[in-house]
Amino acid sequence: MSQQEAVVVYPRHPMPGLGVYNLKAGMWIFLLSEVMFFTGLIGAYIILRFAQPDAFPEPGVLLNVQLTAFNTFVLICSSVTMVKAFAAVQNGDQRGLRLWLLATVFLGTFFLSIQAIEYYLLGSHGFLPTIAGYAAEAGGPLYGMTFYTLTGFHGAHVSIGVLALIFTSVKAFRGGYTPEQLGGVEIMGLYWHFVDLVWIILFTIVYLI
Amino acid sequence: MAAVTKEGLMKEPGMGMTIGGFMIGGAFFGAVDGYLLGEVVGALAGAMVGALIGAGLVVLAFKPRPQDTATEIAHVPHANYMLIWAALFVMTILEVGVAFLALSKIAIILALLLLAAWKALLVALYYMHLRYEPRRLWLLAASPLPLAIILVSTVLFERW
Repeated sequence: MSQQEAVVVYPRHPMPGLGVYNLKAGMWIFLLSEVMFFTGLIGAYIILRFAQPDAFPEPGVLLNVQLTAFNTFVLICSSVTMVKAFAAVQNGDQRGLRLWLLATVFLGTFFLSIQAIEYYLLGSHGFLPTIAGYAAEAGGPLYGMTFYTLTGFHGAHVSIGVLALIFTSVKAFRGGYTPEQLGGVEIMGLYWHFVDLVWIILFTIVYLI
Repeated sequence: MAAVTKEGLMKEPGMGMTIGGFMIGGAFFGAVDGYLLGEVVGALAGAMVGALIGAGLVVLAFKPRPQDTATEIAHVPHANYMLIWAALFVMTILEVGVAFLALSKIAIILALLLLAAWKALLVALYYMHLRYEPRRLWLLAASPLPLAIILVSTVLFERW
């Protein structure tokens, strides 16, 4: 077998129950609770929208779809850099792991910055998450309330993700991850992709429908 | 667990059984709750979808695959990440395009939901590596979906 064809072989310990290591099982169980958390929020949005169709303007009337579509693209890119970081540590490529993690931190921060700009622009048009700020032409209170709750909670998740990513990057720079010990990078990735997945659904439901 | 066999899984206080029972119980509760409120149709539809998905998942989870029993990983299978990225990118552009087409609202919503579900599935299967995980993790990962359907459909079809 030539050098290029050599693959990393490492032991796989017997893993009863779910068949994955505990760290990953724990992260998945946490993500399931997150699914129900967002179901509550998105479900409330769907139900309110069915009940009060007139309170929600057509897509593109108030929200800047182009800007958010670009932001969606940024988040998708951050997902691919995250998975690339995991692939790098699987192959024992420490430099790749650090660079891809830094790229993910950058893209996550970039996403949050664009969201902050979006909030600022919406706020300057009178679309604010305060009762006094609700303008009738901006859809009224229901629209503002649901919009800021949904995107705000997602933004909070991205913010926490960026903090966790910075922690993961610091550990990666200290050489804390090896092909045998990569659980931290993998569960970080699971959380990050989940946040991306939630955004895919939010973008469709809040901005496009 | 030395070897994952159907008998072994049955003996073990398995995650599969627990979650499967939980889902069917949830579906039943959704139906009963709906009946008390006089909302039989919506709640039953939600409950049936939940129970069907749950039953399908239980069947899937009890079929072990080679990687469930492997004692070492020779290579870690994964998809072409850049290809998935390209697909997600193209589908996002498609979504924005479809949203502003001069079609009926229902057609647009259906197309958008289909695209969103497809994108979400790509992320879960390939970026979260769910496709290469043991089937019992699939069961766990999909377990909140019937509950989510029940939660939304029961309230949505409620009339007062």
